[in-house]
Amino acid sequence: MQNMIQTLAQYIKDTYNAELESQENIFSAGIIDSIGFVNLIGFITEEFKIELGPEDLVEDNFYSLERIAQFISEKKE
Amino acid sequence: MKPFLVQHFLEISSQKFPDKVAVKHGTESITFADLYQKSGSLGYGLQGLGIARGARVGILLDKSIAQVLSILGTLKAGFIFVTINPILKEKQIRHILKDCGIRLLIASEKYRRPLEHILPDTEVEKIIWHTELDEMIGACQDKKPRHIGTGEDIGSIIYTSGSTGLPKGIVISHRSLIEGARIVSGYLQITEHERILGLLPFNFDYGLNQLTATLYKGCTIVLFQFFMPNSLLNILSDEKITGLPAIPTIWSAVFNPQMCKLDPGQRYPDLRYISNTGGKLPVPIVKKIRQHFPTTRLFLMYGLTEAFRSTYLDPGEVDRRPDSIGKAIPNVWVEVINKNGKICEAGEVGELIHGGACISKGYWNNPELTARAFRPNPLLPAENQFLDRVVFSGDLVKKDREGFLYYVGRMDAMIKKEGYRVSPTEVEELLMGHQDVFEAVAYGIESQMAKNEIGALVVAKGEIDIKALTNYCRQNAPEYLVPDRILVMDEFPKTETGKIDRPRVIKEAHAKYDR
Repeated sequence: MQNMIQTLAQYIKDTYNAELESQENIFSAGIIDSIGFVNLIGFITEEFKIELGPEDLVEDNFYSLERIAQFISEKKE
Repeated sequence: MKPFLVQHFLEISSQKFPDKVAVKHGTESITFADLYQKSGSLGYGLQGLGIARGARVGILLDKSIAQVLSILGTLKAGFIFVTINPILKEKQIRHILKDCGIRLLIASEKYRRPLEHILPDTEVEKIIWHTELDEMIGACQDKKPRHIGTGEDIGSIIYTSGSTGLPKGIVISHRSLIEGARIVSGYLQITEHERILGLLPFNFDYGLNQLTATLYKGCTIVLFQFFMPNSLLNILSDEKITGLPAIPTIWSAVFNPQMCKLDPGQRYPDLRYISNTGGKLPVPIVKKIRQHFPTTRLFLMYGLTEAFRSTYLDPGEVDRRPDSIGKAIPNVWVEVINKNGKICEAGEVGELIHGGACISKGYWNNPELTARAFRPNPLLPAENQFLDRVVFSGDLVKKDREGFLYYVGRMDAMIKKEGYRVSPTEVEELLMGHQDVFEAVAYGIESQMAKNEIGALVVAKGEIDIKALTNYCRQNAPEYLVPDRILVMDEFPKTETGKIDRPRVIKEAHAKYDR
């Protein structure tokens, strides 16, 4: 779980040159927009080898790095 | 006499509909009376900072009620607002701040750290943080700014994304903003009962138009940040949205089955109109919108920030000519002219020029570029051409016998192949007609044999077979439109307004595939 959060935080740092706390709200942090979001989803599916369908793509599953990591773990089970 | 300044719209609506919600954002909302009162207090507070009239005020805030208040407070103080999209990169933000000499900035605390890097290079002297706005408004309660202005005063400078180089500042008068609100509200038939979705950013001229139309008509704007297409569809129903202005990228996400689950039975009884601008909507998407929103009127619009909007297609014509950009908007004329400055015949491709209302003042700090895009009216007798100023769009279009216009492409992007002038748009639409293609970019490749080739880059919806795609092109188009090379990309980089960043796409493709 911590590793996943770190990988995601590194991606945000590499892509946007910004730091994001693990519980910080991604949508209101103002560093990522809808297109950035599509890219983030692409990164998640490749990096963590999971498949996401349209029913997974709701804000509830992605609002913070911690929540994304939790969601990925659920999907992997 | 009023309205001749944008804030007069608010003044009039706050008298007519004091208790009605003007702006809604999530669970927050503000009435017309409150918006009038608070923006006045803010304007008074801003005037107290001792800045000269006509100063540019940068606004670096998320889409929010605070952002709306900052825009209106700035205008009431007699200043010029410059909204800066927070997702811009440091280099672009620095350029905007420096280019128009911003000294006062209203910003959200979360940009404190990046601003520390940006500001030392600029003339910014004072920052009002988001959290200090309420304090300033409270301290100036019941105070009104004194400002005498004219409709010719500059209201805003809008920085366009600019697919090449740094953004250009387009200077817009109060009069143009007012004309734009009146004309568009007129043909969209916006009334006080409207609930408009504020989906597009206010640093985009048509996004700002949703705010000015709301103030003008006394209706409600619901602010919304687009992330997931399903949330967009939900808010349409939840907020009983009646007007949805959007851009092509949003529709590609909505109709991408991997990103959005569409319920074919879902109906949107409140949704009265959808408008599209910011790029031509591919015909397959036009058809999908018509299928999914059968009772909603679809307005296809065309315009460029230099002249706000130029044309729209009557919704009644959409099914008959889904690829047309329609005819001139009221109080505006457009013509198609050839290289000699003469009006083109039906079917002949030429440059679109725009005359009449909504013409901006020019580019800030840039007389050369201004003289190139804003020119004397070539259709008047030579000795009097200087009396009328028109915008040369740089867009190639053609007109049919009934006067409907069709977008062909940018003048600087045409590909010459085997004696034909091929528009990248034509090739892109051909490719996107194939079921596996999600997005496409076409461009010219110069070759030594004096034979130019068409290169195409595509993003697939899933797997894609290049040979099958080429065959599909052959079956559906003349040979000169068929790309000579097709490369598959994982994704296309986009500009901050969501358009495909064509120069970057082409550069990245070369970096990836050239040895």
